[in-house]
Amino acid sequence: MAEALIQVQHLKKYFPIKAGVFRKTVGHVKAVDDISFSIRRGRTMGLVGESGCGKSTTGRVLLRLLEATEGTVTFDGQDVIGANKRAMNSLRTKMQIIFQDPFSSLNPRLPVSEIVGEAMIQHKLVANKAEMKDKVIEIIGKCGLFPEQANRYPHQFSGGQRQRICIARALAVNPEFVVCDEAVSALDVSIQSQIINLLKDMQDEMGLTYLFISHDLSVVKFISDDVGVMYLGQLVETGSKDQIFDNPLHPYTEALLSAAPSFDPTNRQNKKRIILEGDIPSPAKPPSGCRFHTRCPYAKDMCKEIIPESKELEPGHFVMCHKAQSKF
Amino acid sequence: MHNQNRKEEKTWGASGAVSTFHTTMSGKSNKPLLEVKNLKTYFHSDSGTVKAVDDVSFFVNEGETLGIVGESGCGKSISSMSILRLVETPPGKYEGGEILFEGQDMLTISDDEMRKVRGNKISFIFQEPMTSLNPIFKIGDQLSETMILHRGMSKKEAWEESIRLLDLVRIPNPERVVGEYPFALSGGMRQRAMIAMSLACEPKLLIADEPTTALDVTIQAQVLDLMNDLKKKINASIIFITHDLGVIAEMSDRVMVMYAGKVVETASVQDIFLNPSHPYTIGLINSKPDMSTSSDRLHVIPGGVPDLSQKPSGCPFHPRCDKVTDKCTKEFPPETAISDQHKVFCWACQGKQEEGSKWQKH
Repeated sequence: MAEALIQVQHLKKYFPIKAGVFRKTVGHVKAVDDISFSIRRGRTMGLVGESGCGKSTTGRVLLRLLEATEGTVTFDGQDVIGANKRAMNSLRTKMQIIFQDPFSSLNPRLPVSEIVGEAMIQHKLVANKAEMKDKVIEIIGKCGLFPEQANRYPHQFSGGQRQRICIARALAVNPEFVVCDEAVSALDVSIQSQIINLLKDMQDEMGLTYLFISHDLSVVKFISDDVGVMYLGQLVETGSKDQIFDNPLHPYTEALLSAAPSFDPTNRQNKKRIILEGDIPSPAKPPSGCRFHTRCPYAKDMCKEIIPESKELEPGHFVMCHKAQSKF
Repeated sequence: MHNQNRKEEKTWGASGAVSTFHTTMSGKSNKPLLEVKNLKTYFHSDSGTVKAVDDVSFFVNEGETLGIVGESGCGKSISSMSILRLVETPPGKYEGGEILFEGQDMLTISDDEMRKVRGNKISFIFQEPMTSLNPIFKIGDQLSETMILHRGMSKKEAWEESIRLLDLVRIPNPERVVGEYPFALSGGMRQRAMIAMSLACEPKLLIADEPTTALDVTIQAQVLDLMNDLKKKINASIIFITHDLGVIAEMSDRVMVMYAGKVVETASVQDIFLNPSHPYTIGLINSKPDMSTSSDRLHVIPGGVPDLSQKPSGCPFHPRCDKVTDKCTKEFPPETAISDQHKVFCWACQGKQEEGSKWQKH
């Protein structure tokens, strides 16, 4: 088994809710509430969940784009949360992020060569502008763009090409770990497959480790080795791809998988779909006990009161559910 | 104008119980309710003419759900908006064709007549429930508006009816929600309210433009389940527009695939997924990772969706097609009928007939 590159323990991120004239803190949105997981070197961890479940916040806290409220994150044994400015600066070259929206995440005033090369200069990976240009052309070539496109501006590219620029920018500093935050969600299907293949190729070539955040289960199933399922700030189930998709143990995972529309029109009549009742509760006022109990078809009284622990039910398969842990 | 007769004919009128209008059960007929013939909707701008909908023909039978699928910019939304003349003119212009609905050509009727169709016989569900509901009016007021206008109800009747409609779309506590403003509702609830609004006048045709795209998967499942349920109850025809092939497989009876303003293939939902013919349809289906299979690499359609102001000559798909011939670059292919319902526009598919007709069932 490969060593863990990223180790997350009891990570919490609370956003204060302020109200009144004096902006007093009246409560907290518990966006990420006590999650622990690890990602092995060279592997891809998929993080799935619905909007507001805290998956993007998790990605950002890992890179310290947001400061954690509590908990630890280590990268290759090195503490990320407590790192000082200098240590963090060198860590930044090893950890990168690709955002969802290729339209708003590129500076419209800079040409591609500047967008991609800026970090190389900043981290002194290249000696001068000429060298930067060569490197930029090399990296954008790998990402499927032509050398002459290096001098163009973002508005001259299509969505798929812009996402290639974002990938080139992230890979320009030779990172080891990349967070892909809904990196293919905004793209058309035929473009999506190109970008997913590109991400896979780059992983093989550079030995990258990915945290792949997405709400699209089929994409996550395709790209990930391990999968974590989040619900209202908690990681309710983690395991290998096969464990999660073939043997989901948490009722939420089960419902999520059955909710994804299937491609086969012949079985739509006999497919039994679990339809969850109600909406996702607000993370500012999460339900007591198991947070899923308000929508869970199996919920019993104990679920309303006792917060389930995350237990390893199979090797590597952690589940946070009283029912799965056969307490009833 | 208030038409009293029409109001009484309505089985889901003000006094009837919900169940009374469930009696007209689904019977799919082969009579087209809507026929679009050679529709051309162009946009003229300084940088050239964008042929967003370029010579598109299709029909929707009574009680049938037609799925329109394609990538962004393929003209699926503009085709459907053209039906109700919702395309802003200028810059848009209906350059030709006919849209026949109940014997009337939607492109030539007067604005007054059009207003009687919109929201009444044909209604629309938009993608974004937040921007398509007016934030300063209560849900009940917005629902009532069409009923007061088209069904001649009094304000009180319409309010009561609104409550029943909200109940029909499974909104909990409809008596309370009817008096709420849109911001108080979650995304899924808003989309249900939109659906309720679109059903208010018992439309013959419902156009749903990406109705679940903005929703989470579990909420999408709720809304799709609701729509499938309502489909059986109200026997309306539906045009369901989406880029999501999974949703298409789930919802449609017949599917139309569009690319760069052109229809490239239409077939029954079984044929589209199990026996696709057009290289674009095949590519599209293979590009999406399927939940039930696992593979190592995804199929890729090379290149990107073309800019419609510089649309490739001949078949617009030819620069990305793996079966491209000389002919493809020069002329758009004529229709090839693979079977009765399965039509494809592709030079490479000519002569291909009834090969995999195992899914043909009548």
